[in-house]
Amino acid sequence: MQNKDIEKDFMDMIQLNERIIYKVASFYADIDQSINDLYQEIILSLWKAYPSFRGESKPSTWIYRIALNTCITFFRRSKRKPQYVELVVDIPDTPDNNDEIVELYKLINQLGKIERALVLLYLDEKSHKEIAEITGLTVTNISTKISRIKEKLKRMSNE
Amino acid sequence: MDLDNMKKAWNDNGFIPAITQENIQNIIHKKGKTALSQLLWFEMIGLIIVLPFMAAPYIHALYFPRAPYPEFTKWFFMSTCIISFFWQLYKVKLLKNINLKQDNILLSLKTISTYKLYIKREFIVGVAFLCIILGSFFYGYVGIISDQGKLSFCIYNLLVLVIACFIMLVFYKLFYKKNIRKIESALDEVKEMEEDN
Repeated sequence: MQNKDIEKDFMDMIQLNERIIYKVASFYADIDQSINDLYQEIILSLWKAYPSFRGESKPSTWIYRIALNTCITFFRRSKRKPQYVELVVDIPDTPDNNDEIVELYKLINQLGKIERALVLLYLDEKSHKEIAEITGLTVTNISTKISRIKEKLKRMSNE
Repeated sequence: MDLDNMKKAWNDNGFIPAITQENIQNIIHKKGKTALSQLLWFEMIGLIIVLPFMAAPYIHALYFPRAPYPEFTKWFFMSTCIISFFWQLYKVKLLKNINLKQDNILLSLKTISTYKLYIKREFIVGVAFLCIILGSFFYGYVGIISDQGKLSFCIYNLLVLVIACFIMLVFYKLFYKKNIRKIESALDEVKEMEEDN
């Protein structure tokens, strides 16, 4: 396959799964890392990894794994570098069409990084097997963790 | 707040940023390295330049033959370079172990948090080493200073050391303590998840 075809396939895949990238970036954005930086960093990591994508797992699972790993490991020693390009499209910090979702975004920063990933994957109705594959937790442990997170979120929203 | 009730709204959420192909092309062509590769590159540079630094006392002696490094300072400095080389090597290996395509997030978080914790502490250790090097360098010249100037020389150096320690403490409290706590809590989360696994 020629480079141009690979690029075209990649761009199609990104556009098709853009929702995942946006949601992961918005879950991990904070004062140190803007959603715009994370969004671009995920796309770049996916691009670097794309030549080795053989389609053994579902594209969405593959994107989730790389996107979550990118956000979790995102760290810049120099604040000035790397520079990110100006995006014409405006990426909002939270999707503001639902009160509960807006509240979730307010509470999400109080959760740990793995807890955030669990919430995200759970809300996206990923199977426990897929969640286990992405997070490294055992299938049996996932139910316990999700129940605890649900309780924690309830408690936090009542405070 | 109930996550189960939220599922429908979450998945119905029609918002899509609608990134264009032009945007994607811009990102993948204009920005060459990922943040992780950049970090690895940074550590590699450190690894390459640290050993040639061992020659610094000899170069210094060439340019300032009347004020060479005292013996202790020279050996301490050179030992620091050797230790730093292995330290850099270890950090490079640590970062190289991160595989975004294959690692699970538990492993990635553990590795990157360990790295972040190391480099926060590295700064503090680095400043302490610098104080020892500078302190021992000046102390080596106490013997050749006249008795009259000895006291003021010692007071001056002690003052520099106290100020350096004070600045280091302020830096630590302002910029590092909070960050280190944040990193440690991430590592605690990993530990807790691993224990339950």
